[in-house]
Amino acid sequence: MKTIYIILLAGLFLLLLSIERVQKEKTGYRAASVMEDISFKQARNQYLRYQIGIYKSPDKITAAAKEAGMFVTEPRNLIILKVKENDFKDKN
Amino acid sequence: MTLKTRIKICGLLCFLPAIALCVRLFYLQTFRHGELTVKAEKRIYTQTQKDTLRGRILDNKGVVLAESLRTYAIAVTKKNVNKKDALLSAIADTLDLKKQDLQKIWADKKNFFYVKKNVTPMEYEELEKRTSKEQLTGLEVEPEYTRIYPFDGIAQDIIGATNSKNKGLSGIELMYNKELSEETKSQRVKRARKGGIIYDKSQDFVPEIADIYLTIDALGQYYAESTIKEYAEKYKVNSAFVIVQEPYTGNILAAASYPSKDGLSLPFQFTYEPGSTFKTISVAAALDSGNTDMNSTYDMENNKWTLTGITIKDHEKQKKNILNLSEVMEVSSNIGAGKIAYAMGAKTLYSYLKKFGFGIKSNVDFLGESGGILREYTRWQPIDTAKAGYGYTVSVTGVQLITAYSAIANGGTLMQAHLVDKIKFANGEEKSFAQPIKVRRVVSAVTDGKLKTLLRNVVTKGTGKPAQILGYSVAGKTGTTEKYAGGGKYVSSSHIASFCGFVPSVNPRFTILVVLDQPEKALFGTSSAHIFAEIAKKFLTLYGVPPDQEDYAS
Repeated sequence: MKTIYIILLAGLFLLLLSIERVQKEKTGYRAASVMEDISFKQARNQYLRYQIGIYKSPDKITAAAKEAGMFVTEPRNLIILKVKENDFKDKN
Repeated sequence: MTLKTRIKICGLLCFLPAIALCVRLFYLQTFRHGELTVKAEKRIYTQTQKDTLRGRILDNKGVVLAESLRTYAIAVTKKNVNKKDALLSAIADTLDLKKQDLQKIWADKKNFFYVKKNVTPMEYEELEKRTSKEQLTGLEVEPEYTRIYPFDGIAQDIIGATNSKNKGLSGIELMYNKELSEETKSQRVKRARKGGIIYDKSQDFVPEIADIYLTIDALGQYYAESTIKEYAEKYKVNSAFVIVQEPYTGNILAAASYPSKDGLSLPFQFTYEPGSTFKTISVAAALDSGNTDMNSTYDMENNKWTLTGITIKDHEKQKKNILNLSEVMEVSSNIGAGKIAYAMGAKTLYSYLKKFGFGIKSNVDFLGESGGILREYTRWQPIDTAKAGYGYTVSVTGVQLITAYSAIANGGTLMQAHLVDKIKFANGEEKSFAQPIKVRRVVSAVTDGKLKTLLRNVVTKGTGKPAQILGYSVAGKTGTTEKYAGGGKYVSSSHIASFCGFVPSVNPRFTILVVLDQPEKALFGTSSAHIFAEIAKKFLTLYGVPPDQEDYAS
């Protein structure tokens, strides 16, 4: 009887071990798919950022601003609300 | 046959398959081990290429100037295709191709053929959805990358170029190729039955690529590039460049070339005789060595000063025959500067030129930087000493000259010029380059004060008037050089017009050098002075530098 129990326990252990291994492979497969998905989404995100970057490029903005009658002002027209102390400090 | 014998025979028969199995296993494990291992390896595992996107190149504020974009190459393996017509339709619809063209390629190719390269992630996603939905097979996808320049491709001459294999070919891309890229790694991974791979912890790896941060300010660079292009086309120049530097740190904020070519940056590679912009350096040497003073006067010799049989002239006869030091600079007198240099002597002048960093590379971190030409003073004739005083017989690069002017701007200390700010590795580690490094003191603070006054007078009273900016004090010097034609001769109709200066003249924020090579329509340094003012205004606005003059309200 004792031998039968031992054999059953060993069988159960082997069964659990194989289930665990199968689960590991399944999870590994899912993880690889998720990682591939992440990598693809990152690529897509990067491409979108690139396209936004094109619209934000200074050439495009300058052209659009020109059309709207805007231009970079002369520096003397700037109103500086906060002047850093170092701007007036003699660095010599 | 007894029962016992029968049981023994049955037992033996039962054991026979087991024994046969053991024998077979022994045979397979021992004699066919190698062959079967290879078979199993092929079925269970596969090799994947772990490639890392090339590192980015950014400006000093983190604006991306160059980065690699993941794209895909789409191909077809004919023997794996289950529905030819549906697959070609899907490809044509999603990748913006003509189905007839695809059918033609299909007919021409034996088995494998590329359909399209540089497919965007969006196009790929659409194609993938369609093939999954219609259960189409036979499509092959290879990841690849394209180098892109999101900020309008500015600073292309500094950044350089890469090839399709991710290798840097010129400029920063070539110089820092080792940091920006890493070899494609092959990895053994477990293959899943229905395609794809099975993740394993051993597949984790930290890429060894780095991002390169330049000292360049992307927006400032844009202004410098667009301004120099506008005026270069207007004046029909052969080439032109502008360089903007922070005098207290030595950092290059902009370095624009016209025409712009990958990896060919004129501010670091173009050498020229600096002409009158060099008078500042010879006068600095004379003032610092006590060979001249603010009260010194010079005889203009009725515009004909003969030295060892060679006559030196000014561009035009001066209104006064006796000029003081400030007037020599204001009218940019060659005779005056020649006399100052000649009186100082070749040895003293040479030692100061060396101190200012001429004749050697500035080590600004740019591949192919030129060191200019400064011959040993022992080989100078007396006329060479005089000519060196007004910027002939020596050859400089833009970065050398601007760094020398920055030394005057910052109180007399030569700073190390920087183009690369830092390298940031993927593991978060940083290597900083653009720490302000004082190379040496070149002139005393007293001399420096006098030089600033002289350069300020050039802009307020002299040839540099077009460099004036309302509300700001500007100090600088114009320069017009006849181009050397070889054999000791110069071409009087071919010039290099330049202006180098800094703004504001007290506590300067920017040193700017503008050089026009062979302008057809603008012969003198005054045109460069005008471009200087245009660029300086953009930088003053960009950095919010408050006016230091009271005329700003007018």
